[in-house]
Amino acid sequence: MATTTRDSEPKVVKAVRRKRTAPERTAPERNMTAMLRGKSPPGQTGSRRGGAPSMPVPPGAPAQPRPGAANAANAANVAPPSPAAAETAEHRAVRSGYELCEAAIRRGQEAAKRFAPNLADVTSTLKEAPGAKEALGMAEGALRVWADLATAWMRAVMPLAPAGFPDPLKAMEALREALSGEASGHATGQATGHATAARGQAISFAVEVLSARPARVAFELSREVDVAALAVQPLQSLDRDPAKPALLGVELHPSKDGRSVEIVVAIAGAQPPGRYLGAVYDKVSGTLVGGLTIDLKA
Amino acid sequence: MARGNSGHIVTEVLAEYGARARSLLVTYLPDAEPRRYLYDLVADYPSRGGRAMRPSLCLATARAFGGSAERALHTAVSIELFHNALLIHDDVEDESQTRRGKPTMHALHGVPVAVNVGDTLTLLSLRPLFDNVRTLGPRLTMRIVEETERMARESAEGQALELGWRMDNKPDVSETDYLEMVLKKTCWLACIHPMRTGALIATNGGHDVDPILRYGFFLGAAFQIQDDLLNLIGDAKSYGKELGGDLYEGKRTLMLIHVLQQATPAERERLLRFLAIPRAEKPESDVRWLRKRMDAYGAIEHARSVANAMSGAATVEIANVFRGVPASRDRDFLEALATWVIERT
Repeated sequence: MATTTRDSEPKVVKAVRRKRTAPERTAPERNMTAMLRGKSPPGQTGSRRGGAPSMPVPPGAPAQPRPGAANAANAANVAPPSPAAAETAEHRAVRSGYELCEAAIRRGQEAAKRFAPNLADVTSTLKEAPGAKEALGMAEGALRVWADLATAWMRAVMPLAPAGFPDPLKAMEALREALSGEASGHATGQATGHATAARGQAISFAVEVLSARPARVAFELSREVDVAALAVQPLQSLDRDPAKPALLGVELHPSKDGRSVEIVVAIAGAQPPGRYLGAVYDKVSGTLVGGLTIDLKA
Repeated sequence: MARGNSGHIVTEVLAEYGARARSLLVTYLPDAEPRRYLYDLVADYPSRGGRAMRPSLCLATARAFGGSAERALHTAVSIELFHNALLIHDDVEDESQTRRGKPTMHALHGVPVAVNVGDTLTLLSLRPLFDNVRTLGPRLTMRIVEETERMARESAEGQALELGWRMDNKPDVSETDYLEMVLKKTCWLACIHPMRTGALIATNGGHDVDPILRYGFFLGAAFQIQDDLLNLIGDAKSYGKELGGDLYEGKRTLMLIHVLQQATPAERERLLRFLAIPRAEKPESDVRWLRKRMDAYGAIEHARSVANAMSGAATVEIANVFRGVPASRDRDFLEALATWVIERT
């Protein structure tokens, strides 16, 4: 604001400027829902929020219910109020809701850690049950037949391949070895040619495929990893067809001693054929450590 | 999902999946003796209808994630059986008189028989989970059992919170306390568990189910607040329970908490005296007085606003649940529920 005085020379007088307290922020918040949950999205650090969100959620809720009032666009686009602004009942309720959810998620994760070994014991016992063994045997049998046929086909066509072409027969041998019950990481490592040891020790792999159709599984690790922290993202189709759903039925089960990992691949009957690729990452450090590829036949 | 279309798709999917679940559910109801005081009564609540929201959520989530409804059907049936078991026990604990438009189980047959029927329905809900082994395999079956155990524990803890407030005539229940109770008592069974199990079945246990907890909470909370509102201002015929029953029960709803927080010291004292009176002895004049205080302090509008906010948050969270998942009718249904829960009458 500027004012003039009665002096011949106009004089500018600066009024005391009222300033709002600067928000305590050390990094930009670009992900609205992560902000509301009180944690920074991956890749962003330094948020002042450690667990409980201190910013009320903009609920976009009028006093009267109306169709469309509860609307994501409203929720995402309302400018966050200043810290000094009074928190409305709706903001307070939604903030409390997020805090309760985060607490429930933490409780679940703690319980999972506590009970996971017991569950693994129970499931391994159940796998020995006659019915379960037969079901798994059928799936493995189907895959074995496919592996035999594919190997024969590759033996026929490999002489036509140019010099230096990677030998897919090694991958087939690895798959056969896995199906034979050895299921060793050495075998899978040969299949991809990249599996590495963690902390100087060999990691062994077991692959369990539950599929009505032939499927080739390649698991690749490009660096040393802590097996217990391994996770895989949903496998996306490589042919960029938006109609093809992601292949979601993949689990990685690290052993208690951290020296082996079991890969379980369950393929739904309706999953379209094609090549699917998912990133394998370290969920503790959030870094990419490899990939899992599945070729699903028609 | 276009707005204004939510009611249609929700009604349509609930009818379809509800019928599917019911057709398998009846096969788990024993056709055997003793009928008069057990198995005929076990079939009573399930045969009264209901929206079948829980099994539908399970089936729709399984399909939305690329799985088949068939693989999730036994789990959906287990959830519906367990829900019916809890309804019978809840009616006893809340001294409710009407359920799905008819007298409650204990009102018809007495508390001892009703408790035993509820226990039996709980046991019967386990059988479809065991039968999952044939279709899901041992590992995933165990995972679903583990999820069921957590849901049951959360539900019992939520009920204990609410019962404790009433037993102790707790005067200072906050809205956060209420939401925690709703998360445990309502949201786990009504939304979180059906959706988590559906997603796990579709992905053979490979899906991160944490985002579903957030969506399930906000959806369930909006559902519960709307349910509490309908208890006060709903249509008696479509509501299916006695109108105003929550006031007689002294149930700590958002509306009651709001009045307790806004009331003058004299009003608060009167209100706490009223809440301490057993349900059957509560004077009707006091119930009318409490209802008027709710209007005077804008408690109904306040609860509507919070329900709307919960619905808004659910709409945000469903996008996180389905990131990368292709569009489908089942996904549309699950998205539409966020609005439908506060629009239903």
